[in-house]
Amino acid sequence: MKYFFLVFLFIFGFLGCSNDKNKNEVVIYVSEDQVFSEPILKDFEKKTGIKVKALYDTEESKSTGVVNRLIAEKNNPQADVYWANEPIRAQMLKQRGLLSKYISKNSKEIADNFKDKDGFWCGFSARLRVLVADRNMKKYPSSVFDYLDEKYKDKAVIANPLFGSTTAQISAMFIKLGDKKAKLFLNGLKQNGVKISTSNGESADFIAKKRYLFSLVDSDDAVSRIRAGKDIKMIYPDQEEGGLGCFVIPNVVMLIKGAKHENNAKKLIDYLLSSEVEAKLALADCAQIPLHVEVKPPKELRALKDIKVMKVDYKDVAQKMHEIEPFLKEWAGY
Amino acid sequence: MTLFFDTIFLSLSVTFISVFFGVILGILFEKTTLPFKNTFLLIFSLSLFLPPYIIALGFSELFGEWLFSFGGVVLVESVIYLPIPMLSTFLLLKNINKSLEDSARVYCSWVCILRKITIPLISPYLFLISSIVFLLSLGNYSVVNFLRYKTFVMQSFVEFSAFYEYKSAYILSILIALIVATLLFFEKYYTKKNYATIFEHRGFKNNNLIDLKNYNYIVLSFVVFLATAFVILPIFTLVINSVSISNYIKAFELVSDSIFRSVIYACIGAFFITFFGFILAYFIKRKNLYILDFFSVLFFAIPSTVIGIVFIMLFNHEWSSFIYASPIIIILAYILKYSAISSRLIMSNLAQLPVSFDDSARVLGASKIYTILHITIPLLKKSFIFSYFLAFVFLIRDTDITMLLYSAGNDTFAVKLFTLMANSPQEIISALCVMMILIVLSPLLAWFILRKIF
Repeated sequence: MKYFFLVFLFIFGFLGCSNDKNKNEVVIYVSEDQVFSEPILKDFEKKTGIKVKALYDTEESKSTGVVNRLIAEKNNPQADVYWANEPIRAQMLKQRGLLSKYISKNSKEIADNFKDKDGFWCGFSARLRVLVADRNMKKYPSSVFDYLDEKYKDKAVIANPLFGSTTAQISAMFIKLGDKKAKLFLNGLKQNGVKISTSNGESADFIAKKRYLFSLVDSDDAVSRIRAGKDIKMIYPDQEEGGLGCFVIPNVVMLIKGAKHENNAKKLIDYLLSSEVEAKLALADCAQIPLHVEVKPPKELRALKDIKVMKVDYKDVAQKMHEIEPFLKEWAGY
Repeated sequence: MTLFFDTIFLSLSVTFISVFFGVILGILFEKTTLPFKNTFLLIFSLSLFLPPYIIALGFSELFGEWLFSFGGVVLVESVIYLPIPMLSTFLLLKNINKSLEDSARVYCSWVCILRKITIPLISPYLFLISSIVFLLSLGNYSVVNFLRYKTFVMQSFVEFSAFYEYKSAYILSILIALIVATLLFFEKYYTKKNYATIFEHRGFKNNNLIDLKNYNYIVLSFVVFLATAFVILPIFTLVINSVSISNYIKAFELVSDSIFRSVIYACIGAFFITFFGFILAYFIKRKNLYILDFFSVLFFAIPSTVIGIVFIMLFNHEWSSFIYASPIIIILAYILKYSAISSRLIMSNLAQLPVSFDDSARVLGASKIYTILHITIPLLKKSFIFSYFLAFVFLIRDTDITMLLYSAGNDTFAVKLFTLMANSPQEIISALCVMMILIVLSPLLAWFILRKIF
């Protein structure tokens, strides 16, 4: 029996030693899809010799799993850096006091509206919220309000507004339209028989398979289907004079308060905010729009300067998202 | 509430279909002259050892959009759980007291014997097995998640990951605890009472088989059809999709680290599960501590999400960082979740060892520990080896616990495959699935080889 306990102690001691803060490593939590983010982190490892230990969000936790883990670990932080796929939850983490200030030298060229004014987070490589439509439609929808058009009754689909980038866009709409109009919009979706899908990817697939006529999705979902030869059309919504504009969602990187490997974390943040990484993410299948002006956008998308963008402060969006959560849960039946 | 009853209905449907086909196949493989029945038994058992989402992926290639529906979930889960009633029926019939059947054969046909004697004799156990299938289906997460079908477990996971709310997880745990308590009560006070009458000791078998005569080819065609539709085609689709060396090279580059970690965790986890399984089995059987049986089965039945949540709450502190931020937390959760498999397996063999062996050793002056180490354990050698390999297979395919608990840089192959499924090329995913199938099957192959040696 004593041998068993020796084996027990040896194995668990050995496994427990893997958690050593003096190692030349950096711990990053990632909400961007693993298939796109992992190669970038591997390149960083090769360049710097710093070992990157990453924890990825899974599709089904809708980019909130890692955030909740960060919140749960507030008093015992494990992560050094968080790579979020949208800025709203970064703002929420800032409000909860989970972030440390760090202004990277590579963030200078990034427009002010894509970074925190206090230096707690900074955006890079963005997605757009676009409409995808069946290419065979006679007239394409041009606005998110087309969801309420009776001629599209039971023919449109949207990802669950309780999760991911759809929540962020709905919150932004609450700010731009006011609570009353935004609630009317959401209730209108129900009345007009808009199908609720589990993700933007599923929505895009529904359009590609011609089960529905159009949907609001992320630009990477649209581009990946276009690159796969699907018969769909991508539309930048609400581009007319006085229109809401196209909602932009940058990736965001931030330093975690109490990071055990702070210096390495700063190096990783600098790397992620470099134009080199933006160029790689533009060329990859996620087709993200660079925020550095000198980097070329993916060939399927316009440059950011050529798009009418929905102007909102992500801080306000985060605040609004928190406010409307009970309404959204009730709306979605949770 | 509607979602709760929908989930119950889904699990009942899965239970009905898997038990219906499982019992038929179990009878065919044990009691008839069907050709190649051992091969078929192995083929149908495959789906139990593979990660459930791999079966779901294979089926999605075949059925497309339809699979993402109630019918699709029922089909996939029924195929996954079919081996449980099939293997149980097979083993029950193998050990049933054949003298009861033999007496009936004097004046009754085989159909009549099956209907009036064999099946009624094993039906209480079949009820127990059905309840286990029901529980597993109720707690299944990876299939419903892959097929985007909303169930109560899915809701509890989403509520936890999206809002950090535990309410649904608690409700589910209480419900499952009640079902497990009822099952164990039933098992202890009903089935054990009739055990001696229904089952005979090994070594006194009478191998009378039902001659299928002219029906042989019809039944064979039926079994071939089921094996092809349920197991071979989904796996074959994955193999066809991945057929290129370059896909395998790319896939291996993506997951080589994770495969190494998976094997290490599974080796260590299986070792401790077998050890604790034996301790549990010993205390339950020899010291009548049935409460341990209740808890071990309860932890096995409770959805992994709940275990994950509890472990996060328990170890997410500075004092326990060495557990929380290392693979130890995963190994501990594995031990808690899967010890019931090992304890149940070892318990069934321990029950066949006469207590008089221990008593004789004690009379001759041997200590309790000496008796266990030098008499009990050597006699249970085969059970230990089988328990180790079975636990290894369950750990290497585990997604649900690991996904919630792994720390940065410590993901396993099953988790990595699951996360890579989002937006990775289909041929790479298929190659990864084929690699997973080979890794899962290798310990089973090793067990068959070792069984010959020992």
